Amino acid sequence: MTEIRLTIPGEREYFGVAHLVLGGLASRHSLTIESFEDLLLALDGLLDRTRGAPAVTLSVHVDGDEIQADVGPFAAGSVSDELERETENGIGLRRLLDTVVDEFSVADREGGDWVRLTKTARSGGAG
Amino acid sequence: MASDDQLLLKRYHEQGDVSAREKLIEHYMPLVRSLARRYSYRGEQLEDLVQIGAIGLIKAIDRFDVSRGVELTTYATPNIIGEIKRHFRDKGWSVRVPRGLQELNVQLARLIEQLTVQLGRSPTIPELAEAAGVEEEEVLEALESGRAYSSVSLSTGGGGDDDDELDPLESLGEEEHEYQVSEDRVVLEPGFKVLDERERMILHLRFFKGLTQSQIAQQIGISQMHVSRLIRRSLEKIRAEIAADEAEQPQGRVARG
Repeated sequence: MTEIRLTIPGEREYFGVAHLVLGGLASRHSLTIESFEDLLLALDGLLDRTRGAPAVTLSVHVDGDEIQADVGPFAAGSVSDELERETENGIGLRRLLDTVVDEFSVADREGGDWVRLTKTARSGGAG
Repeated sequence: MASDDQLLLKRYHEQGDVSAREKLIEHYMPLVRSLARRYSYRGEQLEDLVQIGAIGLIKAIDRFDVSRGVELTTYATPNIIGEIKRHFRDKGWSVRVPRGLQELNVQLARLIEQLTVQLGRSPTIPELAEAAGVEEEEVLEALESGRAYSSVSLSTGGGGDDDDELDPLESLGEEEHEYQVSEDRVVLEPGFKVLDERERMILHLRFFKGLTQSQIAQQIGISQMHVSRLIRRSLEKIRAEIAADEAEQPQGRVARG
């Protein structure tokens, strides 16, 4: 299993670095451009919630035809609370993730929330 | 209120009454805030933009010619916007995209369309690199440059780098009364009011109807890459709008965009 781990400040100007890391792995594992763009939308949706944090870590794993990206830590309970607050007609985090990744989950780790995004290679046609 | 302004302006300009100037600044700060909000989706903190806009307001007050008979608001608005735009220009945005990357970006957009038809699916990065005759890293760099640029660009997909283009957001204030309430009430959600009709439609098709970017591109008649960038930009605008709302009404929101 390939894994790349990147820690950056929670500031917008560093988010592009995370894009390139994810792109590097997407490139080597046949993720379509459309799937890659979707995965970036999910990643940015999460990174945006770390603005101002001293550090946010992106850990990308490739397992078979799946790319998994772990992002965190977020304040304990903050992401899971937000996912529960989803409104019917808005584009909150839940609707965003439901639409653009194949799976996502939230884990409580090291006293904070970590979100795992899963995207399957060549799933671009399905979103 | 305009006559009050005239009185204050005269007191400041003719008698040097600094307190009159302060009253004018205080009076027009909501205008500054309103204009600054239009640019907050570009990644700057709203409060920073308000401070920059305030400089434009102060310059407008200081340079205002009472004898010309125009309203201060008419004169101040372009000054405030100009100051904010100047800030973005001066900052350089670290996305001043080299011409080579710009050209590759345009080439990639075209190749994505061609390969999507040819392969019956969106291409992978290696396929795109091969078709373009460049390294995969160059493809990633070009895509990232385009992505970063589009998120700060004033134009909706023009691809140029002229910050002086007319910002479509500048007419939002006048357009707001025209919003229609669609049957699914999407437009009622916080933040959606900052989107234009096409952006709302694209978000609706992607996030409520479940169409892929390629399907939306086909339906609307633009490229998949353009759809992707419009989605990204629209979500950024919504986030910025909601953040601005939250900053003003800390307890008012239930969901983030």
